[in-house]
Amino acid sequence: MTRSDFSWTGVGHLSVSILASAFAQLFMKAGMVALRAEHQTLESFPDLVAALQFTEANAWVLGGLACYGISIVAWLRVLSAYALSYAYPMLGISYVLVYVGAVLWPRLAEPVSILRAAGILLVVAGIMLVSESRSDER
Amino acid sequence: LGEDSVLTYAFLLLAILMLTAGQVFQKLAVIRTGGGDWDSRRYLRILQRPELYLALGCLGIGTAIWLPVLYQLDVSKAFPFISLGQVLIVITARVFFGETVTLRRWIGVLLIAIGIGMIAPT
Repeated sequence: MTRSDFSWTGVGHLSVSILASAFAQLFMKAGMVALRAEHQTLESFPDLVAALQFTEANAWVLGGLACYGISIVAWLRVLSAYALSYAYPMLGISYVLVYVGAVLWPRLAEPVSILRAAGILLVVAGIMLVSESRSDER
Repeated sequence: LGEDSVLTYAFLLLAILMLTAGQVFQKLAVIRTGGGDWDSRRYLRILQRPELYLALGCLGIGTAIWLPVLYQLDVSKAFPFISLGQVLIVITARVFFGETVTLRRWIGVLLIAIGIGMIAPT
């Protein structure tokens, strides 16, 4: 059975994977923002583990990890069921989504930077060129 | 672990390595499972692939290292650095596996490098 050509199921899994990976990043960052509000300094890795217990940060990080898990499962299915030549270039979209989300979501409120935005667009273009693959590649 | 500290960027680099290795193992797990529909038997087969657990291990460690990076840096700055993993894959393919790398891929590598070079000082 081959499903190497365009398929709506593939588009569905790919969309879920891209969206979930972007939300994973935004939620994990929200967790770190909450952590920062409670603990100004983070001296060591054990500090981070200790600080993550019983805090609001914990909920955001867990939400982020859940999204990450969803994106991994969806991506496993994309890898097997969808032509990679279509799939891989689309991963660049998540960089744009994370930038837009980080700027627009008041909880994160990251600064608008033309240089950063332009750099991200170059990265996305680069991903599209790097990820060329033979259409029969599985 | 300061915003511009060497340690933050060392964590960033380590996270890139682990997350990229995780991606490679994910792909190997799927390739070595073979084709077929995604029914319960297919899920059982992939759950028996050691590559899947290597992938989850790498992704788990990579994410654990990623959190302190996010603590220090904007996510809109840190996340694009993950794309350096693609650069790493192309260079590894060329240097260690002697694969031919097309001009199109090299241009992609160059664009990613320039893009990251622009994001890094922001």
